[in-house]
Amino acid sequence: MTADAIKHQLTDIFRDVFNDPTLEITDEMTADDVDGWDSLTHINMILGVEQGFGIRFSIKDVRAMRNVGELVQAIAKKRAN
Amino acid sequence: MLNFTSPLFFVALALVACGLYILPGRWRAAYLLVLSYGFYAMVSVRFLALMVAGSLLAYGIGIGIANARSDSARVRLMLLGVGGLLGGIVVFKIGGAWHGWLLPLGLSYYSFKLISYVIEVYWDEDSVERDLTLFLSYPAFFPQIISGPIQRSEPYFQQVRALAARRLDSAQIEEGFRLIVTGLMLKLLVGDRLATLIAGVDAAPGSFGRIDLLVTIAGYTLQLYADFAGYTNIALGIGKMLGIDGPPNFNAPFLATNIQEMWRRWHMSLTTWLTDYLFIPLTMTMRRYGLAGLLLCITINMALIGVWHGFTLNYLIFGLMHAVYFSLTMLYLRYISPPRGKKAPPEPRLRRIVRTAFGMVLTFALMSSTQIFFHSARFDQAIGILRQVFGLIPSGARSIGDIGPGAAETFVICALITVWAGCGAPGARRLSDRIAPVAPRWLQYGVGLFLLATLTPDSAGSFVYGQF
Amino acid sequence: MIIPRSIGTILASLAAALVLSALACLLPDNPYQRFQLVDGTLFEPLRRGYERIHFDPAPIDVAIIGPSKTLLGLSAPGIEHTLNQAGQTAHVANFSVPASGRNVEWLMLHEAYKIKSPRVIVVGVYDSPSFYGHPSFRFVAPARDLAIQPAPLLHNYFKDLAYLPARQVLLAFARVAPGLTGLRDHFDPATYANTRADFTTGSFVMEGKTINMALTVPAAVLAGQTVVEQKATLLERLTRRFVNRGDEAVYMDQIVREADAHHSRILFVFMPVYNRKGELADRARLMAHGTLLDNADISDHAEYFENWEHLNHTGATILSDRVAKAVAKLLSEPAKS
Repeated sequence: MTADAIKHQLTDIFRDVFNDPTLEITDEMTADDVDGWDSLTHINMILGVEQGFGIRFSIKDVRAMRNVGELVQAIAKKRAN
Repeated sequence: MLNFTSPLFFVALALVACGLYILPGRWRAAYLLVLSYGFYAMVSVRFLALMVAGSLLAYGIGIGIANARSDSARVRLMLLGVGGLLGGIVVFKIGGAWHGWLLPLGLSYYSFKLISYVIEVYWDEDSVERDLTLFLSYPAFFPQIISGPIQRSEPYFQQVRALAARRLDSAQIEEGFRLIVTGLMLKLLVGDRLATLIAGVDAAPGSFGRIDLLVTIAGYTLQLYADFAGYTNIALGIGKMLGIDGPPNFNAPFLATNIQEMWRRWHMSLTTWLTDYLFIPLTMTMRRYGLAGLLLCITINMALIGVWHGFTLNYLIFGLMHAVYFSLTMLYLRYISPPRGKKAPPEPRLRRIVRTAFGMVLTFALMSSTQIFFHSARFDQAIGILRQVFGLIPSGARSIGDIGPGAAETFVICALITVWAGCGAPGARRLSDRIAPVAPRWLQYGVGLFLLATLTPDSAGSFVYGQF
Repeated sequence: MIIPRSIGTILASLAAALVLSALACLLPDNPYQRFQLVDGTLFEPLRRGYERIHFDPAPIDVAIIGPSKTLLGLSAPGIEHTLNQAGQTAHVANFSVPASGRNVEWLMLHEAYKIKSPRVIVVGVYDSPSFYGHPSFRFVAPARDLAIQPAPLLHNYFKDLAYLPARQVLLAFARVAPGLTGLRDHFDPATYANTRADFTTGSFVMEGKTINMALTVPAAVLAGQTVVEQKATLLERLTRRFVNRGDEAVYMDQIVREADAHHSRILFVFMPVYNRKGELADRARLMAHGTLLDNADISDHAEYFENWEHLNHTGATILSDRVAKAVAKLLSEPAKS
C-alpha cells in the first residue's frame, strides 16, 4: 500500500471520526490543528484506523505518534509486517 | 506560615528564591529538595517519612525496570510500583472517608506523580532517573505539594537540570510574581467571598427560595473555580520564582460549549494524567467490545475522577453523572450533531452566537448540577437540595441578600469576576498594556497588592483542593 | 551587581502598595460606624457605650471602665439606685468590655469626656493584670490613636496597624453606602434600647456560652476551673522592660492623666478571683492616684462567683453596693482642682 493510498483511506476515517466531511489531512497535521481532536476522538480515530486497515497498535505506538505523517508511516510499517 | 496566602510565606519565599540563585548550580537540585522536605516537615515529620518511603519505592522500581532483562520482570516491577503507590492512596482515602483519618499532605498529588514516573519508565526505559537527589525533589517539590498541579517527571527533571546552568531569568520572575498576585486576588478577594455567602446558604438551604438556591448552586462551580484556579496560579507562580514551570490546570473552562470540551479545560493536570495512564490503555485493551467498551471506559475513568477526591458516595455520584453527560455528549457529537469544519456551509452569525452561548450555559449548568454532590458533605444534603430544586419539598422565602448587608451585590460582583476569569479573562492583557503608559506594571501590581491588603475577608485562607 | 528589571518592578510594586496603604489610613471615617464594627462580637458593649455617650441625653456622673470582671461584677443601675436612695442623684454608665487591655478602657474614657463630664471614674484592678492591648482596639480606635501611640512598639502595634488600611477603606465605603455595609450612619433608638446594658442580672450568651447570673456554683467546681496564665515571651519581656513598660502601665497612665485633666476622681476597685491569694498589683502607685476599694475578702466566698474569675448576681450586688458607697463619698467631696 502506497503512502498516498493510505492517506486517501485515512482521510475518510478522519472525516467520519471528526464529523467534518471536508477535512483534508497533511503530514504535519497534529491534534492542535483539528477542532475536537482530544484524547477521546484520538482513541476513536486509532480504533477506526485499526479497523479500516486491519492492524493493531500497541500503547507504545499510539504514544509515539506526533503527527499525521508519523501515523501514516506507522500504518505502512504495520501493513508491511 | 505554611499557607500560600500568608504574607510571611512570601517573605520566606523571596529569601529562599534569592538563595537558589546565589547557590552554585550543582547545589540547586539539593537545595530544592531540602526546601521541599523542610516545608513538608513543618506540617508532619511522620508523613514526610511516608513520602520518602513512596519516593524511594518509585526510585528503586524505576532503576529495576531499566535494568530488568525480561519483559515479564518489567511488568512485575511496574505492577508492584503502581500497586504499592495506589495502595497507599486507597488505604488513606478510605481511612479518611470512613474513619476520619488525617490525610497526609499532598498524598494524592505526589503519588500520582510517582505512578506516572513508574509507568513512563515501563513504557520507555530511557525515562529512568538515577540521580537520587533530583529524583526525590520531584514528588516533594513544595509549590506543587498542597494541591498540584500534577507535573510529569520528564519536564520537571529537564528544568531542574537546566536550572544548574541558568542565570536568574528576569521575565520568568516577573511572570511568577504576576501569577501569584492575580492568583491571590482570585482566591482571596473573589473565591473566599463567594465561599462565605455559600456557607450562609449551606447553614439552612431549606429556608431559601428556589431561584436563590439555583443561583447558589451555580455559585458552587464559580467558587470552586475561583478557589482552585487561584491556588493553581499561586502554585505556578511560586514554581516560576524558583525557575520551574508547571503544567496548567485550567484553560478558560467556562468557554467550553460541551462537557467533553469542559474536561479538556478543567483540572487538566489530573485529566491528562488519567487519560494517559488509565483511559488510553484501558480503551486499547477493551477495543474489541466497540462502543460498549468505550462507554464502559468513560464510566470507569469518570468514576475514578470522582473517587480520587475521596471515597464517598457523593464523589462517586459526581463522577458517574459526568460519565453520563460525557457519554451523551460524545454520542451526540459523533452521530447527531450536524457536520462541522472549516468548509462546512457557513452558519449565520447570529445563529452561531446563539448556539455557542447556549452550549456554554448548558455546559455550565450540567457542571453545576454535579457540584450539588461535590459540594455537599453528605448524600442526604445533596438529595435535599435536589428535591427543593425540583419543587418536591417547599422552599423558604429567604434570598441571598438576607444573609447580610450587601450580600446580593457582593455575590453578583464576585460571580461576574469569576465568570470573566473562567472565560480566560478576555481583554485583561490588552487593558494592562493599554494603561501601561499611565499606570506602569509595577503600579498595576502595587494596586493589586493594596487591594489584597485591604479587601481580603477575615475568614480567608484555606484551599478547597488542599483536602484531596 | 545589577538588579534584574523584574526585581525592581516587584520592589516598586511593594513600595506602591505600601504608599497606597498609608494613604488609605488617612481616609475619613464616621466614628459611630467604627464602633459598629464590633457589633455581633463579644465587644458589642463598646458600641452601646458610644451610643450612651453620644446619643443618650442622660448625663454621666460615674463612668466604669474595665474588662468582663467589672462588666459582670458591677451594676450601673444598681449603683445608681443605691446612690439615689442615699439622696445623691447620679447617672452611672458601665463602659466595661470583655477581654483585657487598658487601651480600649482609656479610649472609652476619652470618648466620654468629649461631651459628658463624669466626676468619678471607677477602674477595675487585679492581682495579675494583662500586659497586652485590647483585641477590640484595632476596630474602634481612631486611626491616629492606632498609628501614634503613647509608647513605642506596644504588644499589638504592628498587627493593629496592618489592619488599619483595610478598616479605613471599609469605613470610607460605609460613609458612602451605609446600607451595603450594614453600618448605620444614624442612631437607631430601638437597637440601643435592645442592647443589654446590665450584665449582673438575668442570663445571656457570651462567647457561645449561656451565663446565668442567678446560679451559685459549688466551691469544688470553681476550684477545678483552670486558670490560664498569660506567659510572656522573652522578646515581650525585654520590650516591656527596656522599651515601653507594657500596655497596662502605659495606658493606665493615660487613664490617670485623662481623669486628672478633667478633675475627676478615680476609684480603683480590686476585683479578686475566686480563692486565689494574689496580691493586688502596683498597690502603692494606684493609691497615689486615687482611692482604692480593696475587696480581697470576697475571694473566699464561692457563693459570690459565677466562675473562677467572674462574680454572680449575689457577688455583683454586694460589690456594686460597696462601690456605690465609695462613690457617694467621692461625689460629696469638693471637686478636684
